[in-house]
Amino acid sequence: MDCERVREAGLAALTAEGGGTWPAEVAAHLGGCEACRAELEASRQLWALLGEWPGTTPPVEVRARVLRGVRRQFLKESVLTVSGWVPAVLAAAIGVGLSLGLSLLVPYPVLVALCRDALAVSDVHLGPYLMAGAAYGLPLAAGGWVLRRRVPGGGVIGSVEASLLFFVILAPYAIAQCREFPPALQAAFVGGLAGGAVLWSLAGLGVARMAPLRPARR
Amino acid sequence: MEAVQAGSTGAFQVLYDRHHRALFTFLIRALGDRRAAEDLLQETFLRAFARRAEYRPAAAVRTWLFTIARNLVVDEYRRPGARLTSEGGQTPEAIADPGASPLERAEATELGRRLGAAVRRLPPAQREVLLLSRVAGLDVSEVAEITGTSPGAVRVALHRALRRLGELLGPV
Repeated sequence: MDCERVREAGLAALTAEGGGTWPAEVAAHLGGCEACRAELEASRQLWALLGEWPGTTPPVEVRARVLRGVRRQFLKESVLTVSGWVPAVLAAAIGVGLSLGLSLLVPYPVLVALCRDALAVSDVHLGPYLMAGAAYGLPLAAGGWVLRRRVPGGGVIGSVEASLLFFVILAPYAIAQCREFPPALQAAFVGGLAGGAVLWSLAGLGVARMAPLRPARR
Repeated sequence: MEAVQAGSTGAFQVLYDRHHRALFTFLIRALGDRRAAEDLLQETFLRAFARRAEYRPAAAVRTWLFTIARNLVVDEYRRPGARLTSEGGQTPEAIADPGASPLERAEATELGRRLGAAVRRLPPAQREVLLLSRVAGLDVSEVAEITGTSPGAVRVALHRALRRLGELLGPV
């Protein structure tokens, strides 16, 4: 081996993981070549010295700034981009589908009557209407769970978006189906539906966060 | 990384905690200015999050992060009025971690003063290869990927960097 190749091989050995021991061919050459020995020895010392150069930790404020920036960016993506709304649309679609199915099985007036019996209140009390409206938001919990599978983090924003979509889609149907209710009670029912949508979608998200899930691939 | 790509800020915190120190050490050694290194560390992670969809699992996450950091350093050097110098940069006290122990500060002062000054006098290509290899602990193939060269070119640059650093430092 000539000097140049020995120095290359020596450097390669030096920089290899767990390096520092010269390969046999290099060691044999170094035994008889003072110039190569001096150069590689100097490189070895420098390499060791650089390894002792202490690392530096940034201040914690940098971490806080980075995480703030990331949250801001994610919020922007979730609200201002089409792709950011996709999981919310998916969750809302599931919630609306299931809620409509539920309303066919248990029509709104029937559930209101059941709630009134459970609460043991008068016909004009707002409670049963709020409660029944909120109950029809329950399927959105399933939507929230699916949303969580799509977006493991930042799901609160997506849940609120899904609740909004769910309500916007379902409210006209609910109003049409509750025509016979007096206006104040109709408003209570629709208000219950809106509140239930938000609460149940967040509940679905919370349940999904408690249970370990493997996030779906995008 | 899959969770980060899906937008999980919790997973991103883990990513930050795992890589911030190596990246910051690289940045501060490359720039010689603590404030500039802090800004570029922040920018590295924000850019990584913004471009998370471009990440391909074939590459190691740290290689990807160092590629972003290295490109920011290159841009910083090109920027008019850059907050760094090639002749020693800031004093070691300005580089040292304010929260470090007295021993760490002493080491940073003594060792850092000589090494920092010498490293920042290396030509940029040699400096980045040396810092990525030894300070960041990346192997030759990773450094080649980050710098857009071949492993052979990295070895040559490393060889030259060590030789030049030895001349600049004198007996150690």
